[in-house]
Amino acid sequence: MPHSRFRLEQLEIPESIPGFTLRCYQPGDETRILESFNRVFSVGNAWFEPRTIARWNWQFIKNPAGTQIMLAVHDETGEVAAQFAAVPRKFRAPDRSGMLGESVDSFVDARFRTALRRPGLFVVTVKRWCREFIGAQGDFFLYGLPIEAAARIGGAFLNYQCVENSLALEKNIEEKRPFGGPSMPAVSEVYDFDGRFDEFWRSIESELGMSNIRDAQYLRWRYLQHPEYQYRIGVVGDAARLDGYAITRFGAFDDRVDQLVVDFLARRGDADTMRSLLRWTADRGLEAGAKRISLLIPSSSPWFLQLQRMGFFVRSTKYEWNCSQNRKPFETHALRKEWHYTLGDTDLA
Amino acid sequence: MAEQNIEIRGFKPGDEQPLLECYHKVFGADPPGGARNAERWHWQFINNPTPGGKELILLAVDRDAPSTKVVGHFGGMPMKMFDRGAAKNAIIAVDEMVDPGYRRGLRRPGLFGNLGMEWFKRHQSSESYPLVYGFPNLAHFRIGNAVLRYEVIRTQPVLYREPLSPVAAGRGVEIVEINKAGEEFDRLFERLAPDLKLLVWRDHKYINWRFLEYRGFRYRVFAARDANGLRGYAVFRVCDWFIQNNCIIVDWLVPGGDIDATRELLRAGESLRAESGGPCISIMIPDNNPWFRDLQYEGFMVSPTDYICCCVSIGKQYSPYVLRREWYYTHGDFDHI
Repeated sequence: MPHSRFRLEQLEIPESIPGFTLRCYQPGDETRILESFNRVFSVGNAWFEPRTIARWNWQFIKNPAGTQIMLAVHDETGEVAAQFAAVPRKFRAPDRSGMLGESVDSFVDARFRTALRRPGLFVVTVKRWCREFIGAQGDFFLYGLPIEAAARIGGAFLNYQCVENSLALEKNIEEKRPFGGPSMPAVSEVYDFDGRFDEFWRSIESELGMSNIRDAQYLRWRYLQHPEYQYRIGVVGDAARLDGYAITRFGAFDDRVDQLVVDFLARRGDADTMRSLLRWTADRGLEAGAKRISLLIPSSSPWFLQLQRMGFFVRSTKYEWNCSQNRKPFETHALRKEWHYTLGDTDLA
Repeated sequence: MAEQNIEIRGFKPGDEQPLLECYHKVFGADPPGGARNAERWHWQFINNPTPGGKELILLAVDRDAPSTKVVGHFGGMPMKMFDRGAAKNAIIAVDEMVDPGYRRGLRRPGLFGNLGMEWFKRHQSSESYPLVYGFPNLAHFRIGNAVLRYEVIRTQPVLYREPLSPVAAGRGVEIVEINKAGEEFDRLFERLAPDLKLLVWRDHKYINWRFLEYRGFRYRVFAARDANGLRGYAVFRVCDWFIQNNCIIVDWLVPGGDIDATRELLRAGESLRAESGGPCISIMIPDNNPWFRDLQYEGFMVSPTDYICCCVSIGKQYSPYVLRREWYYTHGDFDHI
């Protein structure tokens, strides 16, 4: 018989496990974290590229929204046996704003798995993370695109809820004039996120339902300071204001390499701006040798249908957009309808 | 409602009418998926070629009522499945309900939760029914997810095609509407099932029962044939699911890549759509099935729906991840159309 779901805070979970020290990240831990991370995540992953210290520092230390890492350190060897981490980001919804966290890079090293002991090391680490990082209001809100193994344990102990199975949109750009049509607004490439992006965000945020806040400070950290990926930024607008932007790079997502539209914003229904941005993206893709452009947006987005009308096809991915909340400030069903996200809201691109 | 007033028990002869009365009270006289009546109930539970439907019914009955008063139901229709060459039985959860006046009956988690838990306790043998699946409505999903461990297989998109351009013609295929499926359907299924891995056993007995014997709905079954026999089939029904007057492909079994049979079947569907004046043809299939992509090449677009495909895997034989990768299904494998 299926047993009912339980909440982490209701479980009798010990505060510690003999032989391990549970604590927050401290400066100097990064070397040991990366040793374990690269060992754990390389197993059975043909696409794995070892995580560098520069990238780790960017993701966790330089994040303007803070650092949220809990570690289980093996007392005898000093190795990081387990980690639960989130990349915090500011979000807004029509009736509230606050902080949520993208759940990333969490693992337990197989050598330290307490297979016969329940709850295991990972769950204890998660519980300590919650105690340390749950907000002043006593709630937390995590999201992510977990792989199957993480989704299984998250479903059991963190009440992961499937917001939706992520569908990608893709379009072949090898054909002639893939976004042909009437003359369009021009796209300029820019190399910084200036005040126009803040203005544009303020003017468009109410159209998006719930979304991570895409102000210039966030965009600079996310795309300009990334130590490994070179993003290209195209904008439609003039010196005073923007009508839209697209951020793109040639890279891997869901086991294939495409020109990725990592993030974009255009006003609802402004198909001319969107088409211009996509044509510009396709041109960057052709320069890079891409055969397709692809992107990830929720199926509730008005662009989901619009882009199909522009010739995009929908395909399934191996990911599901997941969230975990302890006090359910948001109904999962409402999130399915209102949450705007793109690949840029994840660490996958 | 005090706990002692409610009896949880299996189905007994004579429960049909009280069960239907409860259904109409909960869902209304004309619910999505069509009204329930004695004929439909018999078709679903008694005439089902996979036996055992009646034994899967669990009722909550008000003991204080002067005559049998059903106030809750948890049950399902058994379905024979093909699972990588083996025959298994699964259950479609259907018509789970509790009379609104009794929803706080029994201790936590309420009457619905208690009914469900009792039902799973009685049917927990993974030998008999390793898989329970369905499309619960939102309220049902919430409590099922919290109390009965419903797991999400996928949030279900639908493919639809507006008549913006004609469907291209296929070549070398003849389309015939049939009123009775014969053994050629068994051979088609035997040929295609191994590639599809996990699906409802679509032999001719099933096709006849599911689409041709019950007169409450008008399904139209079209066979695509060539000189070698049956190439594939499609079942259509025009109804108001998703959008009014929707020409729905209720079931679809066509070999992957057989674009000629596909086009001719779609043209038959397009004729039905034109007759009814409906706005589109639509189909629901898993988003990882090759037809999900190939039908987009034929002009279909993808739209989200509120439907969440869920399962409870008894004995953990089927994780939602395995089902997401390997289970082929259509509207016809559920009871909403």
